[in-house]
Amino acid sequence: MAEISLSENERDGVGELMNVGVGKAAAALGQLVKAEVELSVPRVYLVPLDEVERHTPVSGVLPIAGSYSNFSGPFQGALGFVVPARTRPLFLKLALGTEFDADDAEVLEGDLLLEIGNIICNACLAGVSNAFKIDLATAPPVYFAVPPREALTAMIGSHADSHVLLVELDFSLRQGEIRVFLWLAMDEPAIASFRDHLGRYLAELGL
Amino acid sequence: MPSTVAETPKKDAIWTAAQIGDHLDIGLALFAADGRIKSWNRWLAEGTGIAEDTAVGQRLDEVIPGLTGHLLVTCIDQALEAGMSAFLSHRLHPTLLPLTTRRDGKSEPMSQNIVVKALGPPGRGAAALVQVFDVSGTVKNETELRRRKRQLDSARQQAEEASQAKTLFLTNVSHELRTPLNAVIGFAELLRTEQQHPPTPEQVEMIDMIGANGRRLLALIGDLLELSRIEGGSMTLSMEPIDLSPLLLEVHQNLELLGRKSDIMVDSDLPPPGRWTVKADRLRLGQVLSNFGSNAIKYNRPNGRVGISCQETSQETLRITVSDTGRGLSKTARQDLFKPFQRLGQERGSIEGTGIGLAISKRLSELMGTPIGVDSEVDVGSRFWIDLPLVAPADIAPTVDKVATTSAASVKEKSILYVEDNPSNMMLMERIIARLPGATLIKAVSGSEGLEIAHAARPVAIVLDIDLPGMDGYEVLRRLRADPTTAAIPVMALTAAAMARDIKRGREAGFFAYMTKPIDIPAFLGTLAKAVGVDD
Repeated sequence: MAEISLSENERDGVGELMNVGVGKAAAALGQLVKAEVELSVPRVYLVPLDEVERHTPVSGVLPIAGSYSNFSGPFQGALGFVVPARTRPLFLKLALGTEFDADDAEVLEGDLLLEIGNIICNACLAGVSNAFKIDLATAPPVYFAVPPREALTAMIGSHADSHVLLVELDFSLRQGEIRVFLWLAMDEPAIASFRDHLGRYLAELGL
Repeated sequence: MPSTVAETPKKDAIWTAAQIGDHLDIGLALFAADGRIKSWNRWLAEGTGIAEDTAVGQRLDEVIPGLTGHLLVTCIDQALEAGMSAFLSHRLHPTLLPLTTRRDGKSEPMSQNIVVKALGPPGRGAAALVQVFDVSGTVKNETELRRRKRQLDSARQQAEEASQAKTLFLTNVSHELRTPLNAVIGFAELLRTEQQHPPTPEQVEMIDMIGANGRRLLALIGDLLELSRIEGGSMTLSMEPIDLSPLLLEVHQNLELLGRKSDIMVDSDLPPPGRWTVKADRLRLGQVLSNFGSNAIKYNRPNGRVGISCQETSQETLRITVSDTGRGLSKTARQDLFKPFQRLGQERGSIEGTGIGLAISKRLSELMGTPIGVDSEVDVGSRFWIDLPLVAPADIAPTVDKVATTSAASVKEKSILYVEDNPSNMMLMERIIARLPGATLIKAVSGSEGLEIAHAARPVAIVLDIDLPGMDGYEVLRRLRADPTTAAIPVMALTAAAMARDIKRGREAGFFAYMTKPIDIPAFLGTLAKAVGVDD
C-alpha cells in the first residue's frame, strides 16, 4: 500500500474546512437538542484503513456507535460520525438531558446518532463542496453499533488502498464535554482527487 | 456503495411512477429544485386530508403552515441546495407531518420516520424525495414493552423491600425475645448453683425445667429464624465428626423430662461413648432428633413408650430411629408429613406445636445430605429415622467447659464496667460477678454514663450492650478507643443482636469479643478472664 500523508498546509486546510462545517452543524445541533452546542477546532490525521484503530482511542472489540453517509461527486467515499464505546452513555446523557430515563435513552440511541451524525456529516460535506466548488450528494445516513473494523468495512469496503481522514473534535453539550470522531473514508483514487481539489483551494487562498 | 441517483421510469411503462406511488403503503412526495411539490401520493393525501391537486405546485410550508421553520423543511432545502440527504426520527420529533393513523377503530396521531433523499446534483436539476414511514405499531409495541418492564422493575423493587422488611422484623423479634430469655435462663442457672443457700433436689428439678423450657423457647426462636434462613438459602452448616453417645444421651434426657409430664416412658438403647462416630452438624442433628422425640411424645397414647435406637444399615451408614406407640400414620398422612404446618390432624386439637418442626427437620436433613423418613402402622406406632454417614472416630473437637471453670476463679481484685439499660440483665450480671471473689461490678445504664465512668474509674474490662438508648454500643466503643485513658481497655459486646450479620459487624468493629444473649455463663467468664489477662 502506498504511503500517503498530508502536508502541514493540507492538514490546516482540511481542519479549516471541517471547522466551517462543524460550526454550522453546531447551530443545527443546538436546535435539535435545545441547548448550546460548541465544537472544538478539529484535529486532522490521514491514516491507512488498517491503522484507524491505532489512531483512534477506541477498543478494537467494543462496539462503537454512530452513523455514516455515503457521498458521491468528483470523489466518493463515506463520512462517519463515531462515538467510542466508553463515551456512548455520557453522549446520550448530554444530548438528551434529563428528559429521558435510561430505558428511553437506550431506545433513542440509534435515532439520535443517526440525526446528529447526519447533521454533522452533511454540514462538513457541504463545507467541502462549497470550498472546492463541486457538487457532492449524500445518501440517507446509516446507523451502526459494531466493532470499528466492521463499521469501516460497511462504510468503504475492505480495499487495501483505502485511507481514512481522521477528524477528532470535542463536542460540548450542556454541562459536559466528550470526544467524538469523524471518519472520512476514501479509496486511493478518491484521496488523490480530494487532494487535487484541496491543493486548488489552498492555492486560491495563497497557500 | 449505494447510488444517490434514482432511476427514471421509462415512458412506455404500463404503470407510471406516480401510479405505483399511489399503491404504496408509505408517503411519497417529490420536490422540485425550487422547493415546490411535484408529486404527492395518495397515502399522503389520505393521511393529511390534503389532496394532490392542492399540494402540487406549492411549498410544503404553504400547504401545511405549521411547518414553517421546521427541521423537515430545512432538510428538504438542504437536499435541493446542497445534495444532502437526511433522516428524521419520530423519537426525536414527536410532530413531523400532521398525519393520523387508525388503530383499534380509533384515529390517532401517527408516529413517523422520514427520509429526505437528495436526487440528482444540487442546483437547477435537483430534486428531493421525501419518504414517510408509519411506525405507530412499532412505537406502540415499544411503549408497551417499556411499560411492562417498568411494572416488573417496580414489582421487583417491592419484593426486595418486603424481603428487607421481613429481615428487619426477624431481627427485631430475635432481639426482643432473647433479651428477657437472657434473664430467665441466666437466673435459673445461678439459682441452681447457689452456694450459700443451695436448692433442694426438688427445687433443682424445677429449676432445670425453667432452664430447659427457656432454652426450648430460645430454640424455637432459632427455629423460626432458621426456617426463614433455610427458605432464603442463607443457612450454613458445620459438618464434622461427632460421637453419637453424648448427643443421644442429651436427647434422651430431655425426652425423659418431657415424657414424665405425659406419662410416656422413654426407653432408649443408647450406645456407649465412642461406639459410633458420624459426620453431621451436631446442633442440627440434635434438633432433628429432638423434633422426632417430642413428636413421638406429643402424639403418643397415654402410658405409651418412646425409644431411641441405632442400627448400622451398611458399613457406611448408621440409622437412628425414634419409635413411638402412638396412633400411627396412614399412607395419606405420611405423604404430607414433612410439609410446613402439617399438624397430624391436630390443627384444632389440644397438642401444642406450630407444625414446622418436621418441615425444618426435612430441610436440615437435605442440607446435611442425610435422608430422613418414617415407617408407620396405624394403631401400632411410627418410626422416624435419619441415616447418617459413619466416619472414623478421630479429630473430635474437645469441649471447653474446663477452660471456663478454671478461668472463672481467676478474675480477682478487678472492677468491671457493665453498660446495660435492662434492669433484669443488670441484676443477672451483678449476681454473676458477685461470685468472683475480689471482682467488683460498676454499673452504667447508658452509653454516655458508661463513657464518663470508664474515663474516671478505668475498669479492667468493659461489658457493653449494643442496643442502648441514645448512643449505641458501636459509638461507645468508638469513643472509648478515641480516649487515650480508655483506649486500651478490652471491651466485650454482650447483646441480643444475634443475627449472622450483627455478629459479623460486631467482630469487624473491634470488640474484644462479641457474645450473644442469653448469656452462657461459663463461656462468658472464660472470655472475661482472657480479656483481663488472667487466663490460666
